[in-house]
Amino acid sequence: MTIPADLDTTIAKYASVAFDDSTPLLEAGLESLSLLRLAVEVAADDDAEIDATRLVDLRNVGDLKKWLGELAASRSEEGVTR
Amino acid sequence: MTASTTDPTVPSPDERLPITESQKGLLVVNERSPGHAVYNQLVRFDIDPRIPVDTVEQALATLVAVQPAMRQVFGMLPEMHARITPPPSPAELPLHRVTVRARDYEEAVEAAQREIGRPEFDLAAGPAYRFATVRCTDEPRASIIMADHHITLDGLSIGPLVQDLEEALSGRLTGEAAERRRVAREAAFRKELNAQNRSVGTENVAARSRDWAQRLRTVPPLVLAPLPGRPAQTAFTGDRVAWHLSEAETAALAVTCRRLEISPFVFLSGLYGAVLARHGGVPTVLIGSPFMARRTVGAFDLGGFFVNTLPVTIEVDWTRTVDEHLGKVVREAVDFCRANVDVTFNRLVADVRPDRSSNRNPMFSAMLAMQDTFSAAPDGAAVQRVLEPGNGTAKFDLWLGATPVDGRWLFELEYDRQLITPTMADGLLTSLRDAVRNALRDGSRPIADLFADASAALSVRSDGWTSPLTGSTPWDWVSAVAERRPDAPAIEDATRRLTYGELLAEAERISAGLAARGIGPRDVVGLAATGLCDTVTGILAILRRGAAYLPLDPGLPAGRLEYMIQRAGCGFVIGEPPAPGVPAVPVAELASSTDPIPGSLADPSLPIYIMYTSGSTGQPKGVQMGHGPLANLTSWQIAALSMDTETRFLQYAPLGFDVSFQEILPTLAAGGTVVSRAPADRRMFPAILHRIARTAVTHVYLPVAALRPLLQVAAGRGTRLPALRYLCVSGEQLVVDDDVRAFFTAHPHCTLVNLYGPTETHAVTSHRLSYRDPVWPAHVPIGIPYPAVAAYVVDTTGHLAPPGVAGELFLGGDCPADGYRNDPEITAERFVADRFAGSAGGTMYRTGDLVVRDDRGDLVFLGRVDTQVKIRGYRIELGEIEAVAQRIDGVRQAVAVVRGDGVDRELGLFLCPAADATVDPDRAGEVLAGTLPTYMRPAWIFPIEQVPTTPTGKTDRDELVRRAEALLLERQAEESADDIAYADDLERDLAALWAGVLGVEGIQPDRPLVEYGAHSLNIFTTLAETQERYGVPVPLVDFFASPTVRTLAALVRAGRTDEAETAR
Repeated sequence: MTIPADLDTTIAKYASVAFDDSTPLLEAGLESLSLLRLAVEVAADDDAEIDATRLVDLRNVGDLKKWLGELAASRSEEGVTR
Repeated sequence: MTASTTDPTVPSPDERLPITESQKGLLVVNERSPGHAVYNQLVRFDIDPRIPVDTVEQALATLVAVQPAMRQVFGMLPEMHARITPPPSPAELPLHRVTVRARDYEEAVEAAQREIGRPEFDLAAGPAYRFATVRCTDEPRASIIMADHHITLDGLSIGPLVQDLEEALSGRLTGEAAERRRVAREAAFRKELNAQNRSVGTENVAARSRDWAQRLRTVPPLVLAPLPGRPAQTAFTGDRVAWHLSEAETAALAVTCRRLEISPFVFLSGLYGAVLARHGGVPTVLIGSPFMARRTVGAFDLGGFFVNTLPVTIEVDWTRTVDEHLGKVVREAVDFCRANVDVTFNRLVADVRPDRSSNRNPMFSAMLAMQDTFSAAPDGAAVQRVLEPGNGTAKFDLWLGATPVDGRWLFELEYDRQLITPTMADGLLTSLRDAVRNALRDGSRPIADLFADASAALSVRSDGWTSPLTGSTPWDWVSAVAERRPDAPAIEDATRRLTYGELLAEAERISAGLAARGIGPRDVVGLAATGLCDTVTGILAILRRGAAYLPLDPGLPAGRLEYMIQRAGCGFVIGEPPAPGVPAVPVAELASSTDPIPGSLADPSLPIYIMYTSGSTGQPKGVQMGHGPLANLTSWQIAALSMDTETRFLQYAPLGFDVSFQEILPTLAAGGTVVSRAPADRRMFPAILHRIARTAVTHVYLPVAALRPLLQVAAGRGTRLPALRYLCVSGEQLVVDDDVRAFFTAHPHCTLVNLYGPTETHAVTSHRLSYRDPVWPAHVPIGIPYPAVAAYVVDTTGHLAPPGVAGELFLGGDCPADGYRNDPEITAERFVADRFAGSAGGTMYRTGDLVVRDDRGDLVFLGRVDTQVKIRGYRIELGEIEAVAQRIDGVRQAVAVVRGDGVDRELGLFLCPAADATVDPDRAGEVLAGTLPTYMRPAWIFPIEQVPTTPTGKTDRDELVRRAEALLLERQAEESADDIAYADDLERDLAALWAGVLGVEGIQPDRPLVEYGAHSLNIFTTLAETQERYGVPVPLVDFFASPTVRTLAALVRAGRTDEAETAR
C-alpha cells in the first residue's frame, strides 16, 4: 500500500509547478488525465474501479491525496472503491 | 498472470461480450447511415525511418494483438454484443505499402489515407482496422497510417496505442512479453466491459437523467447556416479548416487557464460555445463532448470505446465578462457533466425524446474533441509525431478538434459540406480565432466584444443599376419629358388618356388652384381622387407646390382615415371629402382655376409623401419620405427594369401602398406610359390578365400572393403576354415552383423580379430570375441592395454578420425615410445613427426583419425577428412547407399557418385544389411525411376554395387561423372514441410485438412509437427481431422517417414484395 508521504513524490511527477495541499489542481498543472494516470499508478491493482463522477470534487492537491489514499487502500480490501 | 486457454478471465473467440452503451449507440448510427463510412477515423504516426520494414509490420501485428478492442467484431442478436477474434500474423494484416520520393510524400500519405480510410468496414466479419505504411526513398521519412472504425477505439485510446506501438517498434515488446500483455489485456478488457454494463442502471442515475433531460428540452436547436432548403438528411461529406496557434498564443492560453483555474477544455468549450451562439443566433448551445468513462484501473492502458459523449450546455449572456463566462458559467457546466458522467448518452436521449426524423445526432449538432491524450514524444522515440487527419467525412454539422502538434495547439473545424459552405466555415474559423485571441488579450471585456464586424463591403455591394435623372424633383423629371415629347402618351385610364403636354398643363392648373387655397411648401395634402388621370395630376400638382401627398383610400374605415389626416397634420384634401372637418375640393374644381399659374416650388429638401403602415401597437404609423431616397430608387429602377419611352407600366397597387410610387413616377421620368388597372377589379385575376394582355403592358408589379393565381389563369387559358418584359413582386416571401417557372420558360423575354423593402425605406433590394437561370430556389432570395443603399445584417452580438449568420436587417445609405410624421419617439427608436457607415451623421432604419446572407452574398429573408414562426425551438419556413405541398397533384395553392402558443403551438396547412381536382388531406399528409422533418409536418390539413387576402393583397393568415379554429372544433365534435383499427393481422402482430417491448397496451398504428417510449436502441433491436421474424430487410432510415406500426407494416410488406419479385 502506498503511504501518504509517497503521494507527494508521485504527484510531483505529473505536476508542472511546486505545490502544497491547498494548491488548486489546475494551478499545479494537474488535469483530469493526469489524475487518472496517478490513479493507475497508485492503485496498481487492475481490478480497482474508479468512480469518474467523483473526479469533479477534487479541487486541490489535498483532495487528490485523500482520494488516491482511498484508492490505494482499497487494494487490500475488496478491490473496489465505491 | 500467465497465458492459459483455460483461464476463465480470457475471452474465447466464441464468447459474446457485452458492449458498452456508447458502442450500442454507434452501432445504431452506423446502421442508419449505410454507405457513408462516417465513423471511420484515421491516425497518422510519423516514425523513425531507420526502423526496418519487417519490424514495423511485426509491431503492427503486436499492436493489434495487445489491444483486444481492435479485434472486436459485432453481432446484433439476441442482443448487441462483440466477439474478440484471434490476433493476426503480420502477413494477415490488412496493410497497404507505399514507397515514394520526398517531393510526393505528403500526397502519397493523403492518398494512402483515402485508400484505407474511405471504404466501409464490415463490423460483423471484421477486421475493423486497416494499415498503410508510407516510406520515402530519398529522404529519411516514414509514416504509419491507421484507419479504424470508431466503435472499436475512442479518442482516449490513442494514448495507450502510441505507448504500445512505441514499445513494439523499439523492440521492447516482443515474444513472451507481448504474449503476456495480450492475455492480460484481454482479461482487463472483459472486466472493463462487465464493469461498464454493471454501472448502467441505478435509480439514482435514472432520476438524474430525467431531471437533466427536462432542462435539455428547453435548449433551442442549434442550426448553423439557417438557409431555406437546408437538408434534414446529409451524406456526411466533410472538409476541414484549421488554425495552428503560435507558441506565444499556446503559452498565453495556458496562462489564462491557470489564472481562471480552468482546463483548456473549459476554455475552448466556452469560446466555441460563444462562436456557435453567434453563428446560430441562440442564447444557449449544446456542445457534444466525449467524457472519460473508463471504470477499471486496468482499462487505462486499453483501447476501446469507453467514452460517454454528453452535451455540455453553454449559456451565453453577451454582456457577461469573458472571465466570468469561462471561470464560472462554463466551468460549472462542464463540472455538471463530469459529475453526471454515469448518465449515458443513450439514456439521456431516451429521456429527452428529441425529433429523430433526420439522420443527424439527436442531441447536438456541434462537437468538441480534445485530442490531447498522448504526450509529445521525447527525442529519439520511435513514434515521433501523431496526427488525427480528417477522412472527408463529417459526423456532425460542425466539429472542433483541439490537438497539440509540435508544442502548439492545432484547432481544426470539420464541417458538413451540405450544410455549411466553405465561406461559412471560414467565417466560423474567423470567429473562433477572434474569440480566442481577444479572450487571451483581455478577460474583462463582455463576450460580445470577442467578435468583430464581418466585412462591411458586403453590406454595400450593389447590383450597380443606375441611370441619370433630369432635375432633382419628380416635377423636374416629368417636365423634362413633356418638353421633349409633349404628345407622347403619359397616362391611360379606363376612360381617358393624357399626353405629357396635357398632364403637365393640368397639373399646373391644379397647382394654381392649390396656391389659391393657400397650399405651399411643407403642407400635407390628402389625395382621395378617383381615376388614374386625376390621381397622377393631383400628385404632380401637390409636389409642384412643395407640399407632400397623403394617399387617402376611401375604402378605409372612416376612423382610420380621420386618424391619418389628424396625425399627419393634413389640412386639405384633393377629391371627395374622406372625413368630416377637413376641406376637400374635387380635382375638376381645382383644375378650373383661372388664377395665374405660379412658378414651381418643388424642392428636393422637402418630403414627397406620407404613407401609413400598420404598426405593432395597432395604430398606423405615417412614414414621411423625402426626395433623396425616392430619386435614388427611381434612378435604380429605370436602369434595372430597362425603362424608356416604350415602357407601359400597369398601375395595380393601391395609392396608399408605396409600390404605387414605383409604378407611376419612374415610368413618367423615363417617358413611358402609366396604364390603369381599372376597369379590372384588383382581385379578379381573369380580368387583370385580360387587361394586361389587351393593353400590352411591359411592366407589371404584383403582391406576391397574386403571382401564382394570375399565372395559373394564364396557363389555364393559354394566354400569352408577348409584350411583358418585367414581372415584379414584393410584399411577402416569394416561393416559386415549377408552375411559376414554366411561365417564364414560355416567356423568355420576361424577367421575374423579387423586390424587398419596408415602407420606411421603400424597396431597397432585388433578386431576379429568368429562363436563363438553371436553378430556381423555391425560397427566392431578396437579393442585393441598390446603389447607395447599405444593407447591414446585424447578428446577436451586435456586429455585422458573416455570410450564413442570421441577423436583423438595418438599412442605411440613401434610403431611410425622414421618420414617422409627428412621432419623434418611435422615430428615434427605429431610425438610429448608422454606426457602420464609417462617417458620422448617417441614419439607418431598423427593419425588425431577420435575414441571412447566402454563400453568393444574396440576402435571404427569414421572417420577423419578433414573430418568427418557431415550433419546439425550430425556426419554421412556412414557404418551404407550402412549396412541398404545391407539388402534390391537384393542389393549386398551399398556405401554411401556425396556431396556438407555447407547447400547443402547431402547424396547419390549407390546400386550394386546382380546377376540376379534389384534394385528399390524408394523401397530402403522407406525401409531406415523406419529405419534411417531423417538426415541419402540419398537425392538420384542410381543403379551401379560395385563399383570403388582406387589402394590400397579402395572404391573410389571421383569417385562415380563425377558419382553422372553427374547422377543428367541428372535427372534434365529429370524432368519437373509436376502437383501434389495425389494417390487417400484420399490423396487429407488430403492435403486439411493440406492446411487449414497451410495456404498454393499445398502440395506435399511426402514432409515433417514440410517444410510447421507444428509443433508438429498442427500435434497433426490435427491428432486428422483425427482420428475423418475417425474413425481410427493414430499412432503418425509412422507419425513422415515420416510426409507427403502420410504417413498419408497410416496410415488411414492401420487403415481401421485393423478395417475391427477386424469386420470380
